[in-house]
Amino acid sequence: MNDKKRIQHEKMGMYQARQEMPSVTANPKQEDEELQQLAGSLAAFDARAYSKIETQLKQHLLTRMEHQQAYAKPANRPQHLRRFSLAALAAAVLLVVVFLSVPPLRAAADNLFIQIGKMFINNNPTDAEEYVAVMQSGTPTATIDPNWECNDCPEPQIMGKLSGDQASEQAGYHVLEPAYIPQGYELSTRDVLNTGATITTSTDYRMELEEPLHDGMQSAGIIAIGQTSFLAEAQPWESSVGDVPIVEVTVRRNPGAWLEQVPVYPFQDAEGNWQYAYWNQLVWSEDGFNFMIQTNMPVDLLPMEEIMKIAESMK
Amino acid sequence: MSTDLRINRALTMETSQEAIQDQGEDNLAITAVSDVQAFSRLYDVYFPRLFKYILFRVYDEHLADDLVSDVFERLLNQLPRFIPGKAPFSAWVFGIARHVVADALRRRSRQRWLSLESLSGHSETESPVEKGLEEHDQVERLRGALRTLTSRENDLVSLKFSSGLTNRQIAALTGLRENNVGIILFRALTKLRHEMTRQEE
Repeated sequence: MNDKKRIQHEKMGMYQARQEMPSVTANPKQEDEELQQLAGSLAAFDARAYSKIETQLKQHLLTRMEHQQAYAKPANRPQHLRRFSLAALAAAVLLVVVFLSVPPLRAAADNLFIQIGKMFINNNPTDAEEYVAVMQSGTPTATIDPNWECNDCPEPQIMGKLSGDQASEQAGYHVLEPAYIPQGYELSTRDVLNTGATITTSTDYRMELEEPLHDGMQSAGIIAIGQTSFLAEAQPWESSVGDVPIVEVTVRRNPGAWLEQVPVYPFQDAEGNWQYAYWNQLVWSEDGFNFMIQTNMPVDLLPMEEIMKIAESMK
Repeated sequence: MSTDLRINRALTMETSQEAIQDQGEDNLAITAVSDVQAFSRLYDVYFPRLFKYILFRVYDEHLADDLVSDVFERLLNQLPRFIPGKAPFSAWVFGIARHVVADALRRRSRQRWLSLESLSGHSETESPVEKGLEEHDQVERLRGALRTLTSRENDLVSLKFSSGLTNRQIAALTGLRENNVGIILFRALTKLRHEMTRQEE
């Protein structure tokens, strides 16, 4: 429909609507003028005066953008490097096609994704997302059975609160501890988990929230630090983070990645709908260890630079 | 010029101007993916429009502040996914805003913990702004009148007078026919004026 016809069409619609509407005043001309005046007032109404966050929000967004650019390796590359990157990208795409189409090589295709130590980060659905998909479909898979009921489950293991020295002794390596933790957070648990192939020290810092988040579902802020050693012959493992940007960063002069809003834990709300707890994660590899600092706090309350600060203070 | 046409003109942007504006904003959005200054300009253009749309929809300043933050967070994350030419950038942005508002309204209808204050749209402690009493009264009347509209009428009026989208673009965004958008807007405006006149009396 062209513009002339469109306006004519709208005009006919107005006429039709007018016939159906009760008249408020006895004078249709006055009525039209008032209507125009109202339309003008609505269009001219400046709502900004009602906002208390316009400036702060802008500052927050711009700062976040600057940080993302500062920590993301591909940003601000010179033009000639971009051209070179395009050629490299084309070669990489070709490589992926070859890898994926030749079965024996398919297993190695994961190597094309970001590697942090022995961990390969990819954008496949997280374990939580796979779990929810299976629960919703009702169809069991090799690892998840939606109809499984636990009749003889062991009591959930209560995490200990080891000191740094005790944890180091138990883990058999020096456990790094942060010299900096944001205000309000306190050591909650520290324990060592030995799977044979890996030894992980998990340390949680916790702060009770005065105002719960996510419609009252989150009552505490948690900063969890993990340090994992693995046997030299241990197989690399995959870490699927779902559809979130994998931002490459440098942590303590080592390669790392920043992941925002990873769906980590599934749960059902009061209506029985599946929801996720979203965590932000900083991962890096250093001296043969894999490290992860993750938090359930949103970036406006605990931004990436704070997590970086914790990482940089570890010793 | 007939009155109907004048009203129609008031509700319809000039097509050529609109196309230029769309293209300008599309280009700004593409640049804003990697340019902080461009994002800053984009924010300056869109904050007033998005906040106004949300305020008209939810009647509550605090909630509108929360939701506009949510919209901009999503905008920042999803900006690289904007495909120019598929739809004008403004329609894309207001598509995000409509989802955020719809989610909030759904949550609000489910939850009982909301205070009477926020349901009424204002609290004693949040005297809107230092404004003239007359203007303040008018705004309060308008807000009261907006509440008498149906959800669809409110959505269309809010979009029309905050987004800068044409009826055609609003139709594409809402899934209505262009002609219906005009009719619903006209009815809604008449209803608003009726309600404001009633409140005055």
